[in-house]
Amino acid sequence: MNGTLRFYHLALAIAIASGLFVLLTGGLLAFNEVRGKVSMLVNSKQVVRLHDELRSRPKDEELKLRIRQLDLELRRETFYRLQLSRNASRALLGGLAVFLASAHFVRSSRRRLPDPLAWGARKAGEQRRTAALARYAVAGAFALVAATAVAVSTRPLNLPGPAASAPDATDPNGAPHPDSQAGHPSPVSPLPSAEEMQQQWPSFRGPNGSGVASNATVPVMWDAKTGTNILWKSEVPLPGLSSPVVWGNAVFVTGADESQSSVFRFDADTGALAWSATIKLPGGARPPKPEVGEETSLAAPTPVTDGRRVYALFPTGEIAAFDFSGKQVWARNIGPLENQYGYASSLAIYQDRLLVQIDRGQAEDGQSRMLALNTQTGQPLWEVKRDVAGSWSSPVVLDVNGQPQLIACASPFVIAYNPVDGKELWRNKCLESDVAPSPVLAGNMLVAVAPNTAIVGLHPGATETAWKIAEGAPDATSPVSDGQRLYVVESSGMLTCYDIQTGKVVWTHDLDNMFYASPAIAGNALILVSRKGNSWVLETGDAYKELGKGEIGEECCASPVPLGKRLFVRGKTNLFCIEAK
Amino acid sequence: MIWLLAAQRFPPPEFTETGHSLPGFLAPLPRGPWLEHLDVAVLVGALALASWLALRHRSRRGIVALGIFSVLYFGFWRKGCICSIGSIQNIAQGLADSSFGVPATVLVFGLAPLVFALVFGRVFCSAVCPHGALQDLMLLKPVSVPVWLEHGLRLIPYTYLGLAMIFAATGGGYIICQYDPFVTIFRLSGSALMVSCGIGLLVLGIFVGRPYCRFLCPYGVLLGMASNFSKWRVRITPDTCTQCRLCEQSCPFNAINASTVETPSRTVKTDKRRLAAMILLLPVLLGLGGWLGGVTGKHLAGRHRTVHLAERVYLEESGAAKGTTDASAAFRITGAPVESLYADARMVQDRYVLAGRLCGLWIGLVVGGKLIVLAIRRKRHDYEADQTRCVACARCFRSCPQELQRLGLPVPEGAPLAPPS
Repeated sequence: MNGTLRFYHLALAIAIASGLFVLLTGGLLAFNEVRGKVSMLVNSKQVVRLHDELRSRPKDEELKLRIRQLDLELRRETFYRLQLSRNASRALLGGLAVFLASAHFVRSSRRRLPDPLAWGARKAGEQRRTAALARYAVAGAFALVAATAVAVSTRPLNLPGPAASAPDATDPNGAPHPDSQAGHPSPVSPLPSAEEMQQQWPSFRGPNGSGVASNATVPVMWDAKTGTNILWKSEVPLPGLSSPVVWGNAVFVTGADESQSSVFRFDADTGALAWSATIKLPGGARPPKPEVGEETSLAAPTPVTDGRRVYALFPTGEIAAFDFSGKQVWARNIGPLENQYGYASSLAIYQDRLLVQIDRGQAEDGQSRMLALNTQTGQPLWEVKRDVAGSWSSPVVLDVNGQPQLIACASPFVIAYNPVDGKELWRNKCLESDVAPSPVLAGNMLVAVAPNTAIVGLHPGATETAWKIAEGAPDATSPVSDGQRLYVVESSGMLTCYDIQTGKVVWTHDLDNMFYASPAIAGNALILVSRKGNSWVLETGDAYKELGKGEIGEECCASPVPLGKRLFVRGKTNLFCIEAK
Repeated sequence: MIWLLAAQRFPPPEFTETGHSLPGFLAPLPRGPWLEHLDVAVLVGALALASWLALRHRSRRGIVALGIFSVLYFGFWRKGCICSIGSIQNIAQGLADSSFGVPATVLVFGLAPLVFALVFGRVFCSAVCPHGALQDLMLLKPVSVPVWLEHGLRLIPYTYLGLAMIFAATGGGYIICQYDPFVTIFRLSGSALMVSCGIGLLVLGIFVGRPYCRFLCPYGVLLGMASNFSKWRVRITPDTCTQCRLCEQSCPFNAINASTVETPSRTVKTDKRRLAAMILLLPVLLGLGGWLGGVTGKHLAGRHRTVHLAERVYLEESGAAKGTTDASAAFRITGAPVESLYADARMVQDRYVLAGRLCGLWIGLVVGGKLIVLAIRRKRHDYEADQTRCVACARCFRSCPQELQRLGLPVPEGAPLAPPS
């Protein structure tokens, strides 16, 4: 017997022995699994029975001891068997490796060269026949895939159609809709109704971003130096250009510096700082500080509240929700938000959707987008790309003939989206340059501003503009309307009143001051606050009529917030509450 | 040590009374960054070595040795994760969802084998992929699968790829990883179903060469497509093919295209008509596939957690289901309106419909393309490794008398040899 043959026989014997070992070990493992001996702890009927008994006799100490002992025994047995099973698997793999090595050796030792002559000549037309059969096989496989798809499609869909999805499941008083109960506990914290939102100042420039509080009656004169009509004045711990939002007796403002982005709640009655909360992103690290202009700050976007939580966004990309006690509910980073002067768009809200307009770079860069986050979890609900240039304008949600529309402005479009799913509803190409003013609904007319170029009036949904005014377009402030007229103040202080139906100038007046804050209307009072902190209260109407003046004694870029009998103004350092004494 | 501590999401209880000490971690721990870099380096190194072994050194033994290493390293040591096959799902999700970040390591694992396939053919499959290498080692008694059946079965990976992309891109889960049959073997644990599938495929692999790679692997589809454009690829003969037919049955994967010299083809009108019919059939298949995909996509959306929850809540609201599940009860505690959940679910459904249509178009395109290719009669002078199917395993080399001559090994009697070139 030569050496090669001896090795062959040895390898064959090893292959047979290891093969039998693999089969035997594999069989035992399978048997162990099928008999459920490994998962005995989980499936133990005895444990379940004893637990049931314990429910009826919760103070039976002897029974508890028996359960503990049984549990311990079962655990020991389970982990022993698991370890045994794991060891057996390793042994099986070892046996398999030996089997494969020896079997491959046996095979290669007996390898014979092929003998094409014995196969005979290749038949003519064989290729064609094979191709024909292959075509049938491919068609058959496709038919099988199609049949499977049809079978899957027979699975019933258990969702109501879009028609059944009323935008608001709560009645105007905030009570849950009776149909939504169906024997289940009602939601513990329903979303605020539209009426609730109208009664508060939940976002930048108030309900619908209009800047109007029609029921408010605020003082016409105040002076921070003498304390005239100043109910309170509180220092805001961190700087920021964002405006206050108010819900009930809670006044929220944001502030940020090199190291933190924070939200502050002040008591509307006393001005006391109720709490301050700093955003803590998961992981702890703060995103890098973006480059921002001096006139934009690290806290330019105004927060938004739905009366349950307050939501704040910062140019770092940090966005977070805090409950009314200051506890962070969620936080995430949606950056980078860096743009030319620093990110400044404020948040908007619709039901449980937090809406973020992120416009950056040039239109062709593809960096601009509109994002909707779930207010309860912060998870993205939808996101749409926007073919627009960077902007500093804030989105507004309007009710147009019963349909909610999210309006966003940036060069060159005014675009309306469905805030529920982000689908584009219409767009109008009427803007240019760096858009900072926000759109506003004036009567039945939507007004948008192309800075230093034109003020545009259009009917929501229309593809053509109703009117266009080529002069007096502000570059930073947003317009405000009393329903009949439009009031626009330019950065230079030139105040102009327009007829909203025709776009014609009604009157103009030079206030001879610089303005960054957008004007607001309280009842029939038009309120303007200049960068120096000087204020004018005018009567809305077809003529310029001054009702009074005010001073806060410090710089101001944030828009004034009239609500009830109070006016909230954020200066460079302090937050002021103005109320007639 | 930071990542070890970070793995514990909740502080462990202290057993002060009994002195019980907690056992070690049961789940694999996160790996340090340097180990991820090591994985990438090993992958790229293995790909380069496999390319050299298959194309330059032409060594079957080297390929086998590298395959054993890959099974041990990427398989048993790395537990089948990170994996190039599964990484395409991360990439698909990253492409579909701009808020989803794809780690650089995953990106390299997904793209490096494709880049190598573009240049050298499917060298990843030869000995770097632990799944392929494991099956390759199992092959003991190859049984030839009829070529026509092979064509039919090869439609499965294309469909699987389409479905995997749908689910990954829409956030519906990573089905390639979920239904990976070999990970259970590498980890020595898994569901009974997947363990059975893994063992079944390995047993089948004793007779049928690489059943997963050929009839299931979605990544193999991409590698095959990339390999079609490869400049350098496996050649059966190192010199000139003499049409000796010795290599004809050497490939257990049906990846050798025979010479057509001995079977002269006749171009007849029927062939032309058939080709025209197949070309005309393509738009029909595209339409049918797109339509079916759209319809199916809406139903596949039920796999997504949001739709799944919305359907459950709707059944509860309509009284069709009694009680609550953990998920529906948790949803109700949030106080969110059901209409909002339904709207979210419908948005997910819309995404699935779009993805389903694209998947259907893809399958229609593949079927149509295959039918057209099968209707074209090709003339081939030499025996060649199929550009798409060849996994560069190097089995065929030593069946070529030119190769034997090159290596100085005995050449079979009567085998024709080409004159030295």
